[in-house]
Amino acid sequence: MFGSNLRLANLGLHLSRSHDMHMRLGFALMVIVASFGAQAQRDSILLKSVTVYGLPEEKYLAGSHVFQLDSTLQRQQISGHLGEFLSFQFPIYFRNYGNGMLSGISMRGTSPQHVAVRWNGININSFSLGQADFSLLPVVAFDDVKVHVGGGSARFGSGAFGGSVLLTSADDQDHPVSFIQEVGSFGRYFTSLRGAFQAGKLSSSSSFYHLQSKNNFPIPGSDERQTHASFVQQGFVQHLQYNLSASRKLEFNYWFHDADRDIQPTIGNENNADTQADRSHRISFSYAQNNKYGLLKAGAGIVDDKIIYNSMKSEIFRWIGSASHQYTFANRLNVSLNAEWNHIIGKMEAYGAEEPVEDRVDLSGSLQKSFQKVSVAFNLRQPFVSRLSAPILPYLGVDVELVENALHRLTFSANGSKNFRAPTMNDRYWLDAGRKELQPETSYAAEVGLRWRYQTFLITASGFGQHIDEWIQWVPEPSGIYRPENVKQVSINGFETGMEAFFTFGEYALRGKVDYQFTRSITKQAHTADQTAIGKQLTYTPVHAASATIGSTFRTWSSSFFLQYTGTRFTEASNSPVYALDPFAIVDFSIGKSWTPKQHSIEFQLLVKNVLNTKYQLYSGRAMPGRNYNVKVLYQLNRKHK
Amino acid sequence: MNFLNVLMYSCMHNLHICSRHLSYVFCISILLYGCAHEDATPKGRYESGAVIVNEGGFGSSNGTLSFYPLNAGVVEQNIFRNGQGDFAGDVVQSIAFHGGKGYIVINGDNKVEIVDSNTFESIGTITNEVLDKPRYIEVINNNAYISVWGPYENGGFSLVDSYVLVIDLMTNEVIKKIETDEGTEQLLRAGNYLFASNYNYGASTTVAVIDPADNTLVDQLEVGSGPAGLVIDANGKVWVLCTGDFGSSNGMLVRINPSMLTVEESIPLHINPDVDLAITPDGSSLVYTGGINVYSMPISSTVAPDSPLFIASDVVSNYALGVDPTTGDIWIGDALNFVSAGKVFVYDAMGNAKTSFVAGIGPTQFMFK
Repeated sequence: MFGSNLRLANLGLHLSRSHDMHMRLGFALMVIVASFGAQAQRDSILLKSVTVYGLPEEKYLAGSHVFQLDSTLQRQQISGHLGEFLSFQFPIYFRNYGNGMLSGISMRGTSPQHVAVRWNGININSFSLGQADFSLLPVVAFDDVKVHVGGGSARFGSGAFGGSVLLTSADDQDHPVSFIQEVGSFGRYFTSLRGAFQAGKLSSSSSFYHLQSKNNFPIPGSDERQTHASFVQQGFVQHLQYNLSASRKLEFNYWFHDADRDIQPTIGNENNADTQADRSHRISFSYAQNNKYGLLKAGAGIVDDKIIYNSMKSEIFRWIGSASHQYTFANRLNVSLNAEWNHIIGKMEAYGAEEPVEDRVDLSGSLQKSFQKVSVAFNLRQPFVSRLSAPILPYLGVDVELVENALHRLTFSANGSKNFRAPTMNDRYWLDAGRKELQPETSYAAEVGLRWRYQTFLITASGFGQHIDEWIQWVPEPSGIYRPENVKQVSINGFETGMEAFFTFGEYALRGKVDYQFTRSITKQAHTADQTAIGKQLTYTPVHAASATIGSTFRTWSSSFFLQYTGTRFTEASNSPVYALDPFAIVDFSIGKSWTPKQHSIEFQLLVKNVLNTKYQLYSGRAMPGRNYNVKVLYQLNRKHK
Repeated sequence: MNFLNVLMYSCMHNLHICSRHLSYVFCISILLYGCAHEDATPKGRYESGAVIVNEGGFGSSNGTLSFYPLNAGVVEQNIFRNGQGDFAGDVVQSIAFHGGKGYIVINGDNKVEIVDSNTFESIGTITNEVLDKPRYIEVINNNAYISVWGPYENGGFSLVDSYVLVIDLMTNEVIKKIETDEGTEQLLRAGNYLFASNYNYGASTTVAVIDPADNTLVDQLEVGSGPAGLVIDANGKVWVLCTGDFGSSNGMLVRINPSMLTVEESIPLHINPDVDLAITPDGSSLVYTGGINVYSMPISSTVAPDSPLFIASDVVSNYALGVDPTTGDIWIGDALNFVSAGKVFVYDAMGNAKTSFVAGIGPTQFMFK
């Protein structure tokens, strides 16, 4: 039953949608073997394996897709932020307020607050703003990136309307030392240093990263350079694991991220002096044990998010507790019960002298049952939020193997869900404006899809729909004051299709992936002041979006080609063409060479960004750079494998 | 919603009930209008009509100017693009015309764009490191007088250093920084002096008086909380619209003798009016608004009207008021929620609806030429 062992360090080495992986019969439980245990020591003493079982997240999300990002491509964009990386991997739109500035995600026609971002199981969206700033999520900080598309509140809680981004920082005992140095255009320098060791039952993995950029790029279409846009980001990630026994472990994760930036002003702006600092501490501590009664996990954590805009500070402090239990019955029925608690303290002047405190408790359960050609998953969550009533949130999904033979595999998937988003701290507690009595936003989402695998081809297509109600908007009162209200309804319909292929010709290997998405995201009801939006596409939500990546290798040479196409985006609610942003296509290209003398790996890479020198904007009035260059050197010490 | 937006919410009522304003320019417009008619050949596409100043979305650099030819009646959007972007700039605050040129104050961009007033082709740009949140401009003797809010206090949104900047238009160099009370807003030339209302969302109470002969601050006249709109009446007197303290319904109309520099009359309005003050073509009646209520008061009156002249019931978020100096038509700008392009509603002098059309995002000022 536990035949499919997967070393943690190997997670993410495939450009495969992990969905396929978990469809394998007999793959009821994925066994994660702590990496140091599975490998030989340098002195060739093999430690006894320590196993802690965990079911992959996607198992409980039968009927929808969980994409695992390709770690090779991830490494090629290692110094970028997650928004830059994801926009080439999927037809996902990011509204970036300039280069390296605030980056808000838009998945499946929803807004940035409608994607739940989780790090090691903790929601890390800003609790004051509701969204995650993807420019503060450096690719280098994560060992594993997964994206679940579509409604998933039953599994991931508040805000999982358009999708969820699941980030993991973990162990990397495969590489006791790794070092990356990059130098790029506009005074860009990136350094990353990572080390790992193990001593007895303790293993540790630490990484430090630093990114800085003058960011004074020539503004395409102008003879001026961008001013006041420099930034520095740095961080530290620590993973510690102590194995109490073969089936019990303690884990500690700490991630500190520190960013200071000059706010990139709009094109043509003079005398701008706005600055923003973001400092986030995220700590989680957990205990896991696995025995015949199942897998028990208990954890506690702290998240402290500070934003200092000019010298105005806002801080949200959270205590987090969680517990879960998973059990697999002999008849291939998986059951999981989870509880999660967030104690939230809002520390900012704008909330008034008395710091608002909010508790959010989520109780949820999941069932997954595999039949011969069918996998069914059912999740149910009941959130409890201080002083408001949250709905009960079901998710039901099914995968059916329609055809399965040596050449073909055709899978049908379908899911339906109810989702919710709790009002943010700003929405509820902003002095003289927030409303404590705001209701959560709710949505009904559904999706049907087909996946056809033929040899090394994979073709996917799915149609999706979502209706969002009680959408919170800040709207003007007759007095002119803006206050949040549950006023908007939005209906989203669309389809997406993609193709992946893999070829080899002797020593030459080629891997490609292309995706397209069509999304109609239409306002159905709105506030009196927003009536012109009714029947119109949401702003900053492209109807057409496409992405493509092509990677090829020849012996020790590799190259990658990244394409992103984004259609017209309206920035004005009635979809006036006067204010629309033009469609654009941008291409990045990289070429690399590696050497592996003995235990060492050395890689050299040249990355050319925006090869076509496209002039484009992701947010109205904010310039993005034209063609620019980045050179990378990577060194890794590889642990000897037995 | 980004952090900027959230910050914006914090001062949203300020930003949204404050802003813009004109009025002093009416007299200039009348002059220009007269000049234009003496010349037989058209000087440009935008020689005669109404210019609508649209702020644009805050921080989106999409403030625009719309043009409405009064005879043709088909509005043209986005008639001026700055050198760098696709629009006029970020938060277009106001425009003034002088000597065949238009001076566009770009509040968010901290600059003034100079254009040909008939073609709206760019002539130049005024930038300076002390231009920090410019509001309005007046041109006297080839000097530009720009009201400037100046910086916010550290860590907040309180104004701490406002002034009127005097710029030599030959060199675009600052020749004088005239310190005033905070929140310096509209400018009006009357008699020998330049009057500047110190608004500051109701926190300032004075009108600054500047002598353009030597660029000195002559006086700061106490008028009432939140002086904003300024006009000259048929008798050459200056009227100041004070918006009052927030939520206190203590707005006032104050009459100033522009040569004696004395306050002659203070009329309580029993509301918190919006910032704009306009005057009928003959200079006999003042026009102001409180939300969608449009009021008219004869300059001879000593009490405010009990009821509005009319209610602009189609308007959602009143953000601009103007009176056509030829026809007396009353124009209201509806900013909606600043996410949609706003609308302009035109009423005749009695308040009967005449027409309406879509302008740009956040219509904030009308200039008739």
